[in-house]
Amino acid sequence: MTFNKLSVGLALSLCVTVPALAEIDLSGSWAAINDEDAMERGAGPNPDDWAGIPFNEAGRARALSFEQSTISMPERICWFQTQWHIAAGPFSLRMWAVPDPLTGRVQAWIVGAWETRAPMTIWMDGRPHPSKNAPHDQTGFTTGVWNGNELIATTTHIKSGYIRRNGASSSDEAVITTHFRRHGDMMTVALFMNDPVYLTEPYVLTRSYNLSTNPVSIGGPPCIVGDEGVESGRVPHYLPGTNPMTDEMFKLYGIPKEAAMGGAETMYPEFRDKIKDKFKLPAKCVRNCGGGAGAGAN
Amino acid sequence: MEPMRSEVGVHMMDQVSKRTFTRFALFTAALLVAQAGLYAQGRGGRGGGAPPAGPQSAKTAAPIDLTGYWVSVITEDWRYRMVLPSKGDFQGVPMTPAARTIANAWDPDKEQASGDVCKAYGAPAVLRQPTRLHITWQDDNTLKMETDAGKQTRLFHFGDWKSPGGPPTLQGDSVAAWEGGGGRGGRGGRGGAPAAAPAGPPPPADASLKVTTTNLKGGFLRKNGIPYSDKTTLTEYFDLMNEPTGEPIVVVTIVTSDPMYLSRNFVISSQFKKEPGDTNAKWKPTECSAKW
Amino acid sequence: MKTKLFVLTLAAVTLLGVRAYAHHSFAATYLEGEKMTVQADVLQFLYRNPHSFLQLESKDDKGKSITWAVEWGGGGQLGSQGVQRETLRPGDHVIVVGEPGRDPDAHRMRMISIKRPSDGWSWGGTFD
Repeated sequence: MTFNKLSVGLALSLCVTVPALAEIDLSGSWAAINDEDAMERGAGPNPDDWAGIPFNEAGRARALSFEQSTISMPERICWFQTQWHIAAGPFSLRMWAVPDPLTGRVQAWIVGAWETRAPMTIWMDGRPHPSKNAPHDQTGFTTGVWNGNELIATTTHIKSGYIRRNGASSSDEAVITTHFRRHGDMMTVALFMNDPVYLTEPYVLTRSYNLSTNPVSIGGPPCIVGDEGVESGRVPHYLPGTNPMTDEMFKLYGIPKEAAMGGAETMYPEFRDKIKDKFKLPAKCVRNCGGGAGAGAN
Repeated sequence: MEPMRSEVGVHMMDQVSKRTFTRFALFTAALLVAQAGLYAQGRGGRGGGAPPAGPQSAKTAAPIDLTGYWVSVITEDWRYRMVLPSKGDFQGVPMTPAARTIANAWDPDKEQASGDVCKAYGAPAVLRQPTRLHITWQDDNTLKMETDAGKQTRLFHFGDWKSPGGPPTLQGDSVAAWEGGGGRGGRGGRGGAPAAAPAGPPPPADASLKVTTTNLKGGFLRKNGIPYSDKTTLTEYFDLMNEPTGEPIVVVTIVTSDPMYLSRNFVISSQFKKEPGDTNAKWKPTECSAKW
Repeated sequence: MKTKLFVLTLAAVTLLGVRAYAHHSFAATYLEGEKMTVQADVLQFLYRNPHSFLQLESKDDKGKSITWAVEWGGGGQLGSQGVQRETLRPGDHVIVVGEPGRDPDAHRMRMISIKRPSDGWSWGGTFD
């Protein structure tokens, strides 16, 4: 064998065996810990509860026009959520690395799909995002960089979607930045939504996961279209000023309407001074109070 | 004649082989040295250089800067934090039956009248309050965190500090350590900078502040009377990140473990945005309240 | 043995995600805390994810047909509770108690309980 062939072969093999510098392994089944926003992520948020969302007027108007049966339209039953559903939904995550077949280096990290959220492919090979004019889809296009042991993923090119499952929406100009931080067998995931169309400042949600030996499905159960009571051709909605549920949070929790309608000020401590005299503590929790009875057939 | 040619051929082959082997060996050695150097850089955190002499104080060794003023950003569990939660609203908390009995007996008027109104401002719950934080170094190995909501002070002790013992307190005894920090990969990682990397300053180091707190007096995880006991251990991870706008934000993952009132670890996370300056006009110390 | 292992693994995987959480919000879709009762005949039992739906036909007081869509658990979740695809068949007469939908035009309910008087079969409880 010549020197050149030997050298090339050795160089290649050393590349494969070079340890991943300043990276950690995020692969595995990460069980979601749904201790915060338990109801919002699980059975779903209360109608017209947008407290803590930094809406602008357009964001609020869009949310007010939303009628829940919209998602039962035949065309929308299996409509996919955007990657924001990692934060807005309750699901566990399955993550794995895809190696470059030639070098063995990680070409992409995948966050597996679940039911109505497509897999998130986080490209790690430095490829650029598509042109601004490239088509958008619910999956979006995601690239990642390592900041030491922290993976930072940036998702663009997503279609309009929901940031809370009661009509609070993101536009097709939204950008999601996701930080993955591992603490031993626990992982903190922080998601930032930047949306110049519907939000006045970034919206942040943080979630926690435990590494589990119970395998999380790579794709989740498939969604199947069916008749959910909304006939083809009807588009459920509320016209401006006709949304009948804007007082729901006051009826349930004594939370004044101006808080429920969201806006950046609702995120900060000084907002409490504004609503203190308007808040009315109800006698007790009347529904969705935590815990629950089992179910079964006889 | 063939044998003479063979001998010459063999001799020439020997020379070539020796040259090849020598060059190959030198090349291999060079590659291995380069690999070791890269590896050392990646682990070095700050790009190599001579290690500092002698033990460093926590302040000197701090890989991230948590000092300054921070404001809570309440985007999660809003109705449990920004207003007084309803009696019996326990969503998300893995309570034991004993905890449920206590929480079902909660009466905000009685709590306020008792004078013991800071129960929901103890270490496991204070970072869920809508509050500002002021974090400073009390000394080179003690980080001090003050809250304006409830006027609480927490001390995070680094090094081999031991609790002096004594009765449990609302903020308990906290032992802190810097954790992690796999090196400042900056933007490029291993694959080069992606075109859509967030604009603004480079992200802070990925190290965390880990705080473990014990010797806690019992209190409330939420203001509506969900209890934690004096057997609670609290573990927190403070992670510094940049928002997409480039502004610093700290995410605190809070793990509360209580064998008496929690059926498993209760894990939540709060976030705080940096407010610039050495003084803060919005810093507004207020007394604890059990009714608001 | 391999088949058994596969089935057990599949069961474990399925059970971990058996709660097919609604992609819509129950609180926003239904008048929680309220109840209504419908006596009707089964038109179709859509056993699926994310949520199964029971299509029922009843008559109003003028004898006009009304079609109801009753939301129920996902296929995986119901299966673990003893409700299979063949449990209900077109033509079965049932009594359903559920939470009414907020959209009156959708004639929609969220299942609380169901009983089939012909053989006494019933189901009751909650689902995600």
